[in-house]
Amino acid sequence: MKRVFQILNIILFISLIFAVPIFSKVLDKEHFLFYENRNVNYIEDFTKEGFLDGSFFESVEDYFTDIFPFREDILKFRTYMDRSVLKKPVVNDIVFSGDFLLAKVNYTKCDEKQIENNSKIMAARLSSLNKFVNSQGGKFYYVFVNEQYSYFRDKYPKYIFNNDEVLNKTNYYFLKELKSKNIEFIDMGEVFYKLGKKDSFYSKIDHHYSYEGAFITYKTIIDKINSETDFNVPKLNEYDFNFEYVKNNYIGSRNRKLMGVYDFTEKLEMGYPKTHISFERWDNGKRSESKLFYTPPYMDENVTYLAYMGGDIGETVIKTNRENLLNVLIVGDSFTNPLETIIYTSFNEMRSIDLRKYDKMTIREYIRDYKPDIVLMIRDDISCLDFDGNGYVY
Amino acid sequence: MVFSSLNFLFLFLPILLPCYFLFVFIKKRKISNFVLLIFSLFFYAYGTPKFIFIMLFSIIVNYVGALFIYNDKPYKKLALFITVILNISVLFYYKYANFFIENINNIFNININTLDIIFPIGISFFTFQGMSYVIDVYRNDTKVQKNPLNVALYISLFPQLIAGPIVRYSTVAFEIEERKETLNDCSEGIIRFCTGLLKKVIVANTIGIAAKEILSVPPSSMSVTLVWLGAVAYAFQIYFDFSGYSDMAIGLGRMFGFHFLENFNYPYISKSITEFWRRWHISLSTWFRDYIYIPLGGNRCTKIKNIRNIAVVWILTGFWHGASWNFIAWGVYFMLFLLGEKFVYGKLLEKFPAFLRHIYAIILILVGWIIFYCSSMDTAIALIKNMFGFGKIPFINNLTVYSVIEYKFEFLIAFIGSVPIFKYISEFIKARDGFIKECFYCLRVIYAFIIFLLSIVFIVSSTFNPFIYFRF
Repeated sequence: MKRVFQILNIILFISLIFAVPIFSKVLDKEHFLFYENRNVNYIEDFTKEGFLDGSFFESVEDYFTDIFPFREDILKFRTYMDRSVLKKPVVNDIVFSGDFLLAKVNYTKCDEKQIENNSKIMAARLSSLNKFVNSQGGKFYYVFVNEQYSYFRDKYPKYIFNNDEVLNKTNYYFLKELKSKNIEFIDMGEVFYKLGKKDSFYSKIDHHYSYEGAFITYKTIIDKINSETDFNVPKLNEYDFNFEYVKNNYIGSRNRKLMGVYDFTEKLEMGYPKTHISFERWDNGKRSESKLFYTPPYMDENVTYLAYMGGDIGETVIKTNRENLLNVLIVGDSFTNPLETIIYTSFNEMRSIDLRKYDKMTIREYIRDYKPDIVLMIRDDISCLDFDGNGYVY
Repeated sequence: MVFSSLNFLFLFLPILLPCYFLFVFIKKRKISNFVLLIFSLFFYAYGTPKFIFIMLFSIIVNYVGALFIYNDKPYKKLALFITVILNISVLFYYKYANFFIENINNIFNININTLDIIFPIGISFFTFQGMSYVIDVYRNDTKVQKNPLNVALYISLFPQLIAGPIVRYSTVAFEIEERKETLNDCSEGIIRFCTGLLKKVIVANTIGIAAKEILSVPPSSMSVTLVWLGAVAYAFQIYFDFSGYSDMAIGLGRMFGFHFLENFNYPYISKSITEFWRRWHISLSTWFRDYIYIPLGGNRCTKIKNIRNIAVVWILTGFWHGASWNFIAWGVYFMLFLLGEKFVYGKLLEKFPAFLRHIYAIILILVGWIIFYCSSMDTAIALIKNMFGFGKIPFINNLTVYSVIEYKFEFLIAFIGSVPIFKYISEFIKARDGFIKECFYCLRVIYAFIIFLLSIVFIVSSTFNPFIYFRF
C-alpha cells in the first residue's frame, strides 16, 4: 500500500509541474493585465550583453510569471482568502473600513522641518510661475484638493496608521507659504468641510473625488475668479446639468487592487449640460472625437475613472468657439479629468496639461505661446510637494 | 535561480527530470551525472551567467589541488596551503574586499576607491565545500576524485549550491558514482521539497513582510512590544527561509538519490545557546568545528587556548555571514554566552526549570537576531534598549495592535511550525501498524499535493505588481 501512495505522490507532483508549462503554451494569453493596469512583460531580444548580465533570463521569468495559467483566478483566490477567510484588515495594500477602501500607508515619522522647507521651496516656485502668468496677462489660481485617503482619514480603524500628522502639517505649512507669497489659492478641503464634509464628495473605492466633488470644485473655482476679477465667467449650476450614473460595474483604483473580488454599489457619475455646448477636441495636437466620456460598449465590461476624458493625456484642447469667453489652462494630474468635463462649459477654450505626461515644452513656454487668461493648477495633498513631473513646470 | 520561482518549478524541473531519469533508467550513470552537472551549471549561471567562471575556477582549483595533495605526496602541505589560499582569495575578493577598503579608509582617513564588485550568489557555500574536499583529501579522510566532472558535480550540484547545506565531500562521495534512485527516496524527496517550499513561500515570505514593516519603523516611534514582535517575526522569517531552503535542497537531493545531512533541528526549542548552535545551521557549525576549532586544539588544551579557539571560531562565524561589523558583533555576542555557559554559569543554568532555561535562550536568540538584522550598531543598540524598556517609548502602541491583527495567522503558523509537534505525531503513527499507518501514508500524499498547490498560489500572488495608482 505504501508503494501505491508513493507512486501516486510522484504522479501528482510530476503532473502538476508538467501541466503548467503545457497550459501556458495552450491557453490564450492576455496582453494587458487589467487589475494591475499594465501590459504583460515581454521577453527581450537575445543579445550577448543581455545574456551575460542576466537581463535576458529575468525577462523570461517576468514573461512567464505574467502568462502563468489562471494567474488572475489565483490572485483573486488569494485576495478572497486574505479578506474573507483570514479577515485581514489590509489586503493588497488596501485598508477595509466599512464601505470605504483606503490606502495602506507605511509608517513614516513626520518630519515637520522637511515639510516646512519643501513647502517654502514649492511656494517660491509657484510664486515665480504666478508672476510669469501675470506678466503674460493672465491670472493664476492654485486649487488644493485632498486625496481620497486624506479626505477620509478619520475613517481609518484606530490601530491603522493614517498619516494624519504629515497630512495636517503639509496642509498647514503649504497653504501658509502660498498665502505668504500672495498666490491665489482655493483650499477645497475647507470648502468641503463647510458644506458638511459629506462622504459623497469623494469616491469610496477610488483615490479621487466623486463627480459631485468635482462639480463643487468647478463652482468654487468660478466663484473665486468672479469674486476677485471682473471677468464674469459664466457659471453653470447643478440644475443646468443632467446627471446620470453609468450602469456598468465601477472599478475604482482601490477595488481594482482587490481584483474586483468584492462588489461595491458605487457607480460612476457623469453630467451633461442641458443646453448642449458644441466643441472640438484635440489630444496631443491631433483632432479627436468630440466627446468627454468614454464608457464601455458592453454592459458586462467594467467602467473605470478613465471614463472621464479618456484618461490621462499629455495635452487636451477643447474649443467651444465662443470668442466672447475666456481661455483657461488647467495644469495637474488625474484630478483634473472629471473637472474638465464640466469646466469647458464656462470658457471659450480649455487646455489641459498633465504634468506627468506632457514633455513637449515647459509650462512657462506653453503659457508664453498660448497666453491663457486663467491658469489653474490642481494638485492633491499627497503630491503637492512632489518635485518630479515635467521638470520645468514651476 | 531559486527553488521558489515559477521558472524553476515549471520550466527547469520539467526539462531536467526526463533528461536525467532517461539515463537513470538505461543505467548510464556517467551520462546522468553529466546531465545533472550541465543543469547545475545552468542553474547557477541563470541569474548572472558571467559568474559561472568563478564557479569553474573553484572547480579547477580544488580538483587540481586535490591531485597534488592525495597519497601523502611530499609537497602536499604546500599544495593544500596554495589551494586553500586560492579559495579564500576568491571569497575575500568578492565578499570582503570592500569591507576592508572602507575600514582602512576610515581608520587612516584615506580614500582608496572601493571595487565595483557584484557578490556572486552562493560563493560562501561552494567555497567552503571546495575547501572541505581538499582538506579531507589532505587528511586522508576521503579518496581523491580523479574524474574532474565528478568534482564539478560535487561543487556545483544545484540543490545545495545557493544556500547550503554545506555538504561535505565524504557525505556524497560514494553517491556521486554509486547512488541508487528509488521510489521511496523520490516520494520522500517530493514531500520534503514541498514542505520546504511551504516554509519558504507561505511562512517565511509572509512573516517577512511583517518583520520588514515592523523593523523599518524608526526606533523612537516603536513600543516595547513592537520591537519584540519585530524580533519574533524576523526570527521566524530567517528560520523558515533558511530551513525551508535546506528542506528543499535535501528533498531535491533525495529525488536524485543523494542523502544530505540535516541542517536544522528545531533550534527555537533550545534551552541554552550551546544547544541552539547544535540545532541551527548544523552544516556550518560542524564545518567550523572540524576545520577550524579542532585543528586549533579544540578543548584539549589550556583554558586560555580553548577560549581563544572559541573566539576565533565565533568571530569567523559572524564574518562568514556577511562583510559587516554587525555580523562580527553578532558572532562575538554568541561567543560571550557560549563561553559563559561553558566556563561560568552553565552548571547553574542546568539547575533551573526547563521553561526558564527556554525563556533565557529565546531572549538571547531574539536579541541576537536584532544585532544580525540591523546594518548599523547604533540602530541595534537603540532597538535593544527599546526591548528592555530603556528607550522612553510606550509599552504598546497602535502599530503593535495592527501587526498582531494583520499577521496573527502568520505568527500562529510559524509558531506551530517551529516546534516539533508534527514530528512527534508522525513518529507516533509510524510506530503503529495497520490502518492508521495506511491512512498516514495517504494523508502525506494529500498534504504534499495541497501544500504544493498552496505554495503556487502564494508564489503567483507575490507577483501581483500593480502600476502605482497614485500616479494615474
